[in-house]
Amino acid sequence: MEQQPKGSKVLKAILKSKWYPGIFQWPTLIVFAVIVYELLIGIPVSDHNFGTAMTWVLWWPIIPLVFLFVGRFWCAICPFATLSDLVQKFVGNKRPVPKFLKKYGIWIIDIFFILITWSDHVFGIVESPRGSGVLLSLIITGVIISGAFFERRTWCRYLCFLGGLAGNYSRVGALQLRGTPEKCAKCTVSACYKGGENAPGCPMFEFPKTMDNNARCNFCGHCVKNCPNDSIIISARVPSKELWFIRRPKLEESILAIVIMGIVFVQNITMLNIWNDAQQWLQEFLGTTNNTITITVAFIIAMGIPALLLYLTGWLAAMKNSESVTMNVTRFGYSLIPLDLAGHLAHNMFHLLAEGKSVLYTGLAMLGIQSQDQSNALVSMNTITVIQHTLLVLGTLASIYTAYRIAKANYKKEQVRGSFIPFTILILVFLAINVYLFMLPMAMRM
Amino acid sequence: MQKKISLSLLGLLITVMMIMGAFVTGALAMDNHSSNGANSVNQSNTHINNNGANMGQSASNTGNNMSNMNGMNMGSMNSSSGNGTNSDEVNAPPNWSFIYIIGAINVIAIIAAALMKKSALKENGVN
Repeated sequence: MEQQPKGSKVLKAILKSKWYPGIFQWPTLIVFAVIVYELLIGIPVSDHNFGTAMTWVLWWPIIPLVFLFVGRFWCAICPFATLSDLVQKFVGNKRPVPKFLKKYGIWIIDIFFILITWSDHVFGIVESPRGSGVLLSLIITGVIISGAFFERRTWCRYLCFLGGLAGNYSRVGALQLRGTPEKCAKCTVSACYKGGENAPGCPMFEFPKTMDNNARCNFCGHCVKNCPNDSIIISARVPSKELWFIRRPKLEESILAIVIMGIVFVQNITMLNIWNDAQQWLQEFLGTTNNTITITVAFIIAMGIPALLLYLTGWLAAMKNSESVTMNVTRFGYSLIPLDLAGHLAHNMFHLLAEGKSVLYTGLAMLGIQSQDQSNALVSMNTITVIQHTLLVLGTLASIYTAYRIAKANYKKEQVRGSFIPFTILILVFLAINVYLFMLPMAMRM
Repeated sequence: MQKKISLSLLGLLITVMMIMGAFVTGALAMDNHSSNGANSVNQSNTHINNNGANMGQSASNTGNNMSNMNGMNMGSMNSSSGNGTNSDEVNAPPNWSFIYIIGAINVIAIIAAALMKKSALKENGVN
């Protein structure tokens, strides 16, 4: 049996503080309000829009790093969640979550994620401040309806597309929150889940007593504040370790992993020089000049190839370990998550490091201080390239090792190699595609 | 039974709304572009100059062949586009009708929830 870590007293004290997470929530909400205002009403040119810079150059690239280091901490201070909490506090009906959301939540997130990425490529949401503003407004509406009618953070748990992404990435995260089994076994109040005098119950519908993963925990600290037995432990762990021992793997979570891989490919390809030629070729092949059709077809291909490769790999592994292809895909899909995270980070590091100063310049411009013709780059392109490839290598190593541990945990000695090798080859193929794409020059967002 | 159906419908409504939202967002972003084409030339020039400046500075940092990137960037802007990517190059005014509609939906949702709060909490057994 794995020994329970002692945990960090400092982190526990922070989570127990009455100031936490409010001290982070309120400033975040204020900045978010400014961003939404800028996107909807401010300068409509993305190069000069503070909302665009904050959303797509700063926040979106940094968010996977947050998941890696502190799990879903962002979800605890997310302005959407704060808004949901506020609405719920004053008018919340606190109705139970509909069954179909519980059953198909991740599938809905998968579809939602694909649709948003698709519509971004077809309509250019990221490059359009107004488009980004509309997207945030619609999410706000969903959050308000959800917070007004349903209990806890129904939106965050079952509908938020970023929450789905966060759930997968947080499994790789270096921080975990758990109950102490000996103390929890004797507990009869379950204040961590139900809530108590100090704080409401877990907003993410988690029960720390039985929680064995970090996919949903957002480190809001409610359980720490409520627990009468001081049972909760917050501790550091080896990144990606959680993926080695998934007890009940879910197909939808594995599908999300491969969807993210496809999305990173799409994001890279459509920002490359070769994209113009590819699009032109595709237009000739399809006999149409309609961009929506060609982008949709390219999107399906870029999303479909990783999924097909995963299925074929599952089929190869199934011949060796005698489990079904679906079960292989479900189990080993999780091994792609570290490479997903690395690819996502590598792509967004380019935007953060090559365009990072745009946040400052657009912020100053909002205050009437102009800084024309300044470079937006924080570091040189060479440095960015080194960082991108280092991330990819680290992600690949973590993915390969995860595949090995999954095989070792689930199969007999002779089946381990037969299950592990096909997925290692798949991971290396994804690495090669990523490396190739990152070697090509990429367009900026700002 | 009726309660269950209404709950499912509400959940379904939110789900459908969010999925449709992806399309609507794009359509509105595209609308901003298409309805304001007149100013695109000037803004487009500004955009190219800015990017040129960025690329130039990056190039001086690195020594990479940034002319390739520069060209690619412009090409990307012109093509992936037709629809959305040029929308930042126009002087799009705020879409007030959208802002008012979305604001009204939010206010209606909050008022409806406030009106239903008492009975809902009673049904849920929450004090």
